[in-house]
Amino acid sequence: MFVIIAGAGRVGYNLAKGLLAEGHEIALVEKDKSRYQTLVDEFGESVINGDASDAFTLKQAGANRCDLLVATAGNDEDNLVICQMAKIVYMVPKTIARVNDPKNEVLFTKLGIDQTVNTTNMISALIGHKVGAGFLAELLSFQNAEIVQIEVPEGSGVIGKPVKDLILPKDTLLIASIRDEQVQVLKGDSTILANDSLIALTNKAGEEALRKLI
Amino acid sequence: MKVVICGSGKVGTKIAEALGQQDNDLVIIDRDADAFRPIEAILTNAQFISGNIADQDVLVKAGIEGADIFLALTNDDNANIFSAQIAKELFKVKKVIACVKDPVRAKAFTDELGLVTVCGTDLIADQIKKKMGAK
Repeated sequence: MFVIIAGAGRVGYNLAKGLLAEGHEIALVEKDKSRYQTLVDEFGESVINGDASDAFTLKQAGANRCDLLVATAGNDEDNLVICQMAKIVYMVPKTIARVNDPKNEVLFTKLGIDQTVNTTNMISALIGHKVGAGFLAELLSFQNAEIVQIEVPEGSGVIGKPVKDLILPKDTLLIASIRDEQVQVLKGDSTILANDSLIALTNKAGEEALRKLI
Repeated sequence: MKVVICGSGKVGTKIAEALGQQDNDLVIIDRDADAFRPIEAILTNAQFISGNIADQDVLVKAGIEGADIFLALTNDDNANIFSAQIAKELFKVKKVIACVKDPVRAKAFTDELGLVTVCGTDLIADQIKKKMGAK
Protein backbone atom coordinates (compact mmCIF):
# COMPACT_ATOMS: atom_id res chain seq x y z
CA MET A 1 0.00 0.00 0.00
CA PHE A 2 1.17 3.57 -0.67
CA VAL A 3 0.48 5.86 2.30
CA ILE A 4 1.03 9.61 2.60
CA ILE A 5 1.67 10.78 6.13
CA ALA A 6 1.14 14.49 6.70
CA GLY A 7 3.12 15.74 9.66
CA ALA A 8 6.40 14.22 10.84
CA GLY A 9 6.05 14.84 14.54
CA ARG A 10 6.35 11.94 16.95
CA VAL A 11 3.14 10.31 15.71
CA GLY A 12 3.89 10.72 12.00
CA TYR A 13 7.52 9.72 12.35
CA ASN A 14 6.78 6.49 14.20
CA LEU A 15 3.92 5.64 11.87
CA ALA A 16 6.25 6.10 8.88
CA LYS A 17 8.86 3.82 10.41
CA GLY A 18 6.28 1.18 11.24
CA LEU A 19 4.76 1.19 7.76
CA LEU A 20 8.17 0.98 6.09
CA ALA A 21 9.08 -1.97 8.31
CA GLU A 22 5.93 -3.71 7.12
CA GLY A 23 6.97 -3.18 3.52
CA HIS A 24 4.60 -0.35 2.61
CA GLU A 25 5.57 2.59 0.45
CA ILE A 26 5.33 5.95 2.20
CA ALA A 27 5.66 9.67 1.62
CA LEU A 28 6.18 11.75 4.72
CA VAL A 29 5.31 15.44 4.46
CA GLU A 30 6.80 17.90 6.92
CA LYS A 31 6.13 21.64 6.94
CA ASP A 32 9.03 22.70 9.14
CA LYS A 33 12.27 23.02 7.17
CA SER A 34 14.66 22.19 10.02
CA ARG A 35 12.61 19.20 11.15
CA TYR A 36 12.56 18.06 7.50
CA GLN A 37 16.35 18.26 7.28
CA THR A 38 16.79 15.97 10.26
CA LEU A 39 14.66 13.34 8.48
CA VAL A 40 16.31 13.34 5.05
CA ASP A 41 19.13 11.00 6.07
CA GLU A 42 16.69 8.43 7.31
CA PHE A 43 13.89 8.68 4.75
CA GLY A 44 15.67 10.03 1.65
CA GLU A 45 13.28 11.01 -1.12
CA SER A 46 10.31 9.71 0.83
CA VAL A 47 10.27 12.84 2.97
CA ILE A 48 8.96 16.05 1.40
CA ASN A 49 9.22 19.56 2.74
CA GLY A 50 5.97 21.47 2.34
CA ASP A 51 2.50 22.26 3.59
CA ALA A 52 0.29 19.20 3.01
CA SER A 53 -2.83 21.36 2.74
CA ASP A 54 -1.27 22.87 -0.37
CA ALA A 55 -2.32 21.04 -3.55
CA PHE A 56 1.16 21.29 -5.06
CA THR A 57 2.79 19.63 -2.05
CA LEU A 58 0.17 16.90 -2.08
CA LYS A 59 0.93 16.25 -5.73
CA GLN A 60 4.67 16.12 -5.04
CA ALA A 61 3.97 13.55 -2.34
CA GLY A 62 2.05 11.45 -4.89
CA ALA A 63 -1.52 12.11 -3.75
CA ASN A 64 -2.90 11.20 -7.17
CA ARG A 65 -1.81 7.58 -6.73
CA CYS A 66 -1.88 7.00 -2.97
CA ASP A 67 -4.17 4.48 -1.28
CA LEU A 68 -4.40 6.25 2.03
CA LEU A 69 -3.55 9.61 3.57
CA VAL A 70 -3.03 10.00 7.30
CA ALA A 71 -2.94 13.51 8.80
CA THR A 72 -1.08 13.50 12.09
CA ALA A 73 -0.48 17.19 12.83
CA GLY A 74 -0.91 18.58 16.31
CA ASN A 75 -3.70 20.92 15.29
CA ASP A 76 -7.10 19.93 14.03
CA GLU A 77 -7.62 22.68 11.46
CA ASP A 78 -4.61 21.48 9.47
CA ASN A 79 -5.59 17.82 9.75
CA LEU A 80 -9.13 18.44 8.54
CA VAL A 81 -8.16 20.64 5.60
CA ILE A 82 -5.35 18.27 4.55
CA CYS A 83 -7.76 15.33 4.42
CA GLN A 84 -10.42 17.36 2.63
CA MET A 85 -7.94 18.63 0.01
CA ALA A 86 -6.68 15.09 -0.56
CA LYS A 87 -10.24 13.92 -1.15
CA ILE A 88 -11.48 16.85 -3.22
CA VAL A 89 -8.45 17.51 -5.41
CA TYR A 90 -6.86 14.07 -5.71
CA MET A 91 -9.76 11.73 -4.93
CA VAL A 92 -7.65 9.90 -2.34
CA PRO A 93 -9.73 6.79 -1.53
CA LYS A 94 -9.23 6.87 2.21
CA THR A 95 -8.22 9.47 4.76
CA ILE A 96 -7.51 9.12 8.45
CA ALA A 97 -7.12 12.15 10.70
CA ARG A 98 -5.68 12.54 14.12
CA VAL A 99 -8.16 14.54 16.18
CA ASN A 100 -6.53 16.46 19.00
CA ASP A 101 -9.62 18.07 20.49
CA PRO A 102 -12.35 15.45 21.15
CA LYS A 103 -15.04 18.07 20.46
CA ASN A 104 -13.99 18.12 16.81
CA GLU A 105 -14.63 14.46 16.15
CA VAL A 106 -18.25 15.02 15.11
CA LEU A 107 -17.18 17.64 12.58
CA PHE A 108 -14.54 15.40 11.04
CA THR A 109 -16.94 12.49 10.66
CA LYS A 110 -19.65 14.75 9.29
CA LEU A 111 -17.30 16.16 6.69
CA GLY A 112 -16.41 12.74 5.30
CA ILE A 113 -13.09 11.94 6.91
CA ASP A 114 -13.11 8.14 6.81
CA GLN A 115 -11.61 7.50 10.17
CA THR A 116 -10.49 9.57 13.12
CA VAL A 117 -7.97 8.73 15.79
CA ASN A 118 -8.58 10.68 18.91
CA THR A 119 -5.29 10.85 20.76
CA THR A 120 -6.69 12.81 23.70
CA ASN A 121 -9.37 10.18 24.31
CA MET A 122 -6.87 7.38 23.92
CA ILE A 123 -4.60 8.85 26.56
CA SER A 124 -7.54 9.37 28.91
CA ALA A 125 -8.59 5.79 28.14
CA LEU A 126 -5.21 4.49 29.21
CA ILE A 127 -5.30 6.57 32.37
CA GLY A 128 -8.91 5.54 32.99
CA HIS A 129 -7.86 1.93 32.66
CA LYS A 130 -5.43 2.50 35.50
CA VAL A 131 -8.09 4.32 37.52
CA GLY A 132 -10.30 1.29 37.05
CA ALA A 133 -13.88 0.16 37.43
CA GLY A 134 -16.82 1.48 35.46
CA PHE A 135 -14.76 3.76 33.24
CA LEU A 136 -15.78 3.65 29.61
CA ALA A 137 -13.21 4.82 27.11
CA GLU A 138 -13.49 5.24 23.39
CA LEU A 139 -10.56 3.58 21.63
CA LEU A 140 -11.47 4.12 18.01
CA SER A 141 -14.35 5.63 16.09
CA PHE A 142 -15.33 5.23 12.48
CA GLN A 143 -18.47 6.21 10.55
CA ASN A 144 -21.23 5.99 13.17
CA ALA A 145 -19.64 3.26 15.28
CA GLU A 146 -16.93 3.08 17.90
CA ILE A 147 -14.81 0.57 19.76
CA VAL A 148 -14.86 1.15 23.51
CA GLN A 149 -13.19 -0.33 26.53
CA ILE A 150 -14.97 -0.67 29.85
CA GLU A 151 -13.90 -2.12 33.18
CA VAL A 152 -16.29 -4.44 35.01
CA PRO A 153 -16.65 -3.23 38.61
CA GLU A 154 -17.09 -5.55 41.61
CA GLY A 155 -20.78 -6.27 42.15
CA SER A 156 -21.76 -5.61 38.54
CA GLY A 157 -24.91 -7.43 37.40
CA VAL A 158 -23.09 -8.99 34.46
CA ILE A 159 -20.58 -10.96 36.53
CA GLY A 160 -20.86 -14.72 36.18
CA LYS A 161 -23.36 -14.54 33.35
CA PRO A 162 -22.70 -15.99 29.90
CA VAL A 163 -22.50 -13.32 27.23
CA LYS A 164 -25.50 -14.75 25.36
CA ASP A 165 -27.78 -14.02 28.34
CA LEU A 166 -26.91 -10.33 28.48
CA ILE A 167 -29.37 -7.84 27.04
CA LEU A 168 -27.08 -5.53 25.17
CA PRO A 169 -28.01 -2.11 23.77
CA LYS A 170 -28.98 -2.00 20.08
CA ASP A 171 -26.08 -2.36 17.63
CA THR A 172 -23.68 -3.29 20.40
CA LEU A 173 -21.42 -6.32 20.45
CA LEU A 174 -19.01 -7.52 23.11
CA ILE A 175 -15.86 -8.49 21.25
CA ALA A 176 -13.19 -9.43 23.74
CA SER A 177 -12.22 -9.33 27.36
CA ILE A 178 -8.84 -8.60 28.87
CA ARG A 179 -8.14 -10.57 32.02
CA ASP A 180 -4.69 -10.79 33.62
CA GLU A 181 -3.18 -9.10 30.55
CA GLN A 182 -4.58 -11.83 28.30
CA VAL A 183 -7.02 -10.94 25.54
CA GLN A 184 -9.71 -13.47 24.79
CA VAL A 185 -12.42 -13.29 22.18
CA LEU A 186 -15.86 -13.45 23.78
CA LYS A 187 -18.29 -16.11 22.59
CA GLY A 188 -21.89 -16.72 23.61
CA ASP A 189 -20.95 -19.03 26.46
CA SER A 190 -18.01 -16.96 27.77
CA THR A 191 -18.60 -15.57 31.24
CA ILE A 192 -17.55 -12.20 32.54
CA LEU A 193 -15.68 -11.73 35.81
CA ALA A 194 -15.15 -8.70 38.03
CA ASN A 195 -12.22 -6.53 36.93
CA ASP A 196 -12.38 -7.83 33.37
CA SER A 197 -11.76 -5.13 30.84
CA LEU A 198 -14.28 -5.52 28.02
CA ILE A 199 -13.81 -4.38 24.45
CA ALA A 200 -17.08 -3.64 22.69
CA LEU A 201 -18.35 -2.39 19.37
CA THR A 202 -21.11 0.15 19.91
CA ASN A 203 -22.25 3.64 18.90
CA LYS A 204 -22.89 6.96 20.64
CA ALA A 205 -26.41 5.91 21.62
CA GLY A 206 -25.35 2.52 22.92
CA GLU A 207 -22.45 3.86 24.95
CA GLU A 208 -24.49 5.16 27.88
CA ALA A 209 -26.73 2.06 28.01
CA LEU A 210 -23.64 -0.14 27.96
CA ARG A 211 -22.08 1.79 30.82
CA LYS A 212 -25.29 1.31 32.85
CA LEU A 213 -25.45 -2.39 32.06
CA ILE A 214 -21.87 -3.04 33.09
CA MET B 1 -27.86 41.42 13.15
CA LYS B 2 -25.46 39.40 15.18
CA VAL B 3 -22.08 39.10 13.47
CA VAL B 4 -19.06 37.09 14.60
CA ILE B 5 -15.79 38.27 13.04
CA CYS B 6 -12.69 36.09 13.36
CA GLY B 7 -9.48 38.02 13.04
CA SER B 8 -8.85 41.68 13.74
CA GLY B 9 -6.14 42.23 11.17
CA LYS B 10 -6.54 44.77 8.39
CA VAL B 11 -9.51 43.07 6.72
CA GLY B 12 -11.29 42.21 9.97
CA THR B 13 -10.84 45.74 11.28
CA LYS B 14 -12.16 47.32 8.11
CA ILE B 15 -15.24 45.10 8.01
CA ALA B 16 -15.88 45.60 11.73
CA GLU B 17 -15.67 49.33 11.28
CA ALA B 18 -18.22 49.27 8.46
CA LEU B 19 -20.60 46.92 10.27
CA GLY B 20 -20.25 48.83 13.50
CA GLN B 21 -21.67 51.96 11.91
CA GLN B 22 -24.94 50.13 11.31
CA ASP B 23 -27.02 48.67 14.06
CA ASN B 24 -25.20 45.36 14.42
CA ASP B 25 -24.26 43.26 17.37
CA LEU B 26 -20.54 42.57 16.80
CA VAL B 27 -18.24 40.04 18.39
CA ILE B 28 -14.60 40.05 17.31
CA ILE B 29 -12.23 37.16 18.03
CA ASP B 30 -8.46 37.27 17.73
CA ARG B 31 -5.69 35.08 19.06
CA ASP B 32 -3.79 38.18 20.10
CA ALA B 33 -5.64 40.64 22.35
CA ASP B 34 -3.19 43.39 21.33
CA ALA B 35 -4.56 43.20 17.81
CA PHE B 36 -7.84 44.68 19.11
CA ARG B 37 -6.31 48.03 19.99
CA PRO B 38 -6.94 49.95 16.76
CA ILE B 39 -10.54 48.74 16.48
CA GLU B 40 -11.34 49.01 20.18
CA ALA B 41 -10.74 52.73 19.97
CA ILE B 42 -13.37 53.08 17.22
CA LEU B 43 -15.96 50.50 18.24
CA THR B 44 -17.07 50.98 21.79
CA ASN B 45 -20.09 48.69 21.68
CA ALA B 46 -18.46 45.57 20.19
CA GLN B 47 -17.42 42.56 22.23
CA PHE B 48 -13.79 41.40 22.02
CA ILE B 49 -12.68 37.86 22.76
CA SER B 50 -9.11 36.64 22.65
CA GLY B 51 -8.76 32.99 21.73
CA ASN B 52 -8.23 30.41 19.01
CA ILE B 53 -10.93 30.52 16.32
CA ALA B 54 -10.46 26.79 15.72
CA ASP B 55 -11.59 26.05 19.28
CA GLN B 56 -15.33 25.37 19.48
CA ASP B 57 -15.45 26.60 23.09
CA VAL B 58 -14.12 29.99 21.99
CA LEU B 59 -16.70 30.17 19.19
CA VAL B 60 -19.52 29.30 21.60
CA LYS B 61 -18.29 31.97 23.99
CA ALA B 62 -18.45 34.41 21.08
CA GLY B 63 -22.10 33.48 20.58
CA ILE B 64 -21.84 31.47 17.36
CA GLU B 65 -25.07 29.71 18.35
CA GLY B 66 -27.23 32.75 17.72
CA ALA B 67 -25.15 34.40 15.01
CA ASP B 68 -26.65 35.55 11.69
CA ILE B 69 -23.29 36.04 9.99
CA PHE B 70 -19.92 34.39 10.57
CA LEU B 71 -16.81 35.83 8.95
CA ALA B 72 -13.46 33.98 9.10
CA LEU B 73 -10.90 36.61 8.16
CA THR B 74 -7.64 35.63 9.83
CA ASN B 75 -4.33 35.13 7.99
CA ASP B 76 -4.51 31.37 8.47
CA ASP B 77 -6.34 29.67 5.57
CA ASN B 78 -6.86 26.39 7.37
CA ALA B 79 -8.14 28.01 10.56
CA ASN B 80 -10.57 30.07 8.45
CA ILE B 81 -11.82 27.05 6.50
CA PHE B 82 -12.09 25.01 9.69
CA SER B 83 -14.04 27.55 11.74
CA ALA B 84 -16.26 28.38 8.75
CA GLN B 85 -17.20 24.70 8.47
CA ILE B 86 -17.94 24.56 12.20
CA ALA B 87 -20.23 27.58 11.77
CA LYS B 88 -21.92 26.14 8.69
CA GLU B 89 -22.18 22.46 9.56
CA LEU B 90 -22.48 22.35 13.34
CA PHE B 91 -24.12 25.66 14.21
CA LYS B 92 -26.10 26.19 11.00
CA VAL B 93 -25.15 29.86 10.69
CA LYS B 94 -26.98 31.17 7.60
CA LYS B 95 -24.25 33.33 6.14
CA VAL B 96 -20.67 32.12 6.43
CA ILE B 97 -17.73 33.62 4.56
CA ALA B 98 -14.08 32.53 4.75
CA CYS B 99 -11.02 34.37 3.44
CA VAL B 100 -8.66 31.90 1.77
CA LYS B 101 -5.40 33.17 0.30
CA ASP B 102 -4.54 29.98 -1.58
CA PRO B 103 -6.56 30.07 -4.85
CA VAL B 104 -6.55 26.27 -5.23
CA ARG B 105 -7.88 25.76 -1.73
CA ALA B 106 -10.48 28.51 -2.20
CA LYS B 107 -11.75 26.96 -5.43
CA ALA B 108 -11.78 23.41 -4.03
CA PHE B 109 -13.89 24.32 -1.01
CA THR B 110 -16.21 26.56 -3.02
CA ASP B 111 -16.83 24.13 -5.87
CA GLU B 112 -16.97 20.89 -3.94
CA LEU B 113 -18.32 21.83 -0.53
CA GLY B 114 -20.28 24.98 -1.22
CA LEU B 115 -18.29 27.12 1.16
CA VAL B 116 -18.42 30.84 0.39
CA THR B 117 -14.82 31.97 0.08
CA VAL B 118 -13.07 35.18 -0.85
CA CYS B 119 -9.62 34.74 -2.31
CA GLY B 120 -7.47 37.83 -1.83
CA THR B 121 -4.77 36.47 -4.13
CA ASP B 122 -7.19 36.13 -7.05
CA LEU B 123 -8.64 39.59 -6.43
CA ILE B 124 -5.22 41.24 -6.30
CA ALA B 125 -4.01 39.39 -9.41
CA ASP B 126 -7.17 40.44 -11.29
CA GLN B 127 -6.68 44.05 -10.28
CA ILE B 128 -3.06 44.02 -11.40
CA LYS B 129 -4.00 42.46 -14.74
CA LYS B 130 -6.72 45.10 -15.21
CA LYS B 131 -4.38 47.96 -14.38
CA MET B 132 -1.80 46.63 -16.82
CA GLY B 133 -4.52 46.67 -19.48
CA ALA B 134 -4.22 42.96 -20.08
CA LYS B 135 -7.23 40.77 -20.79
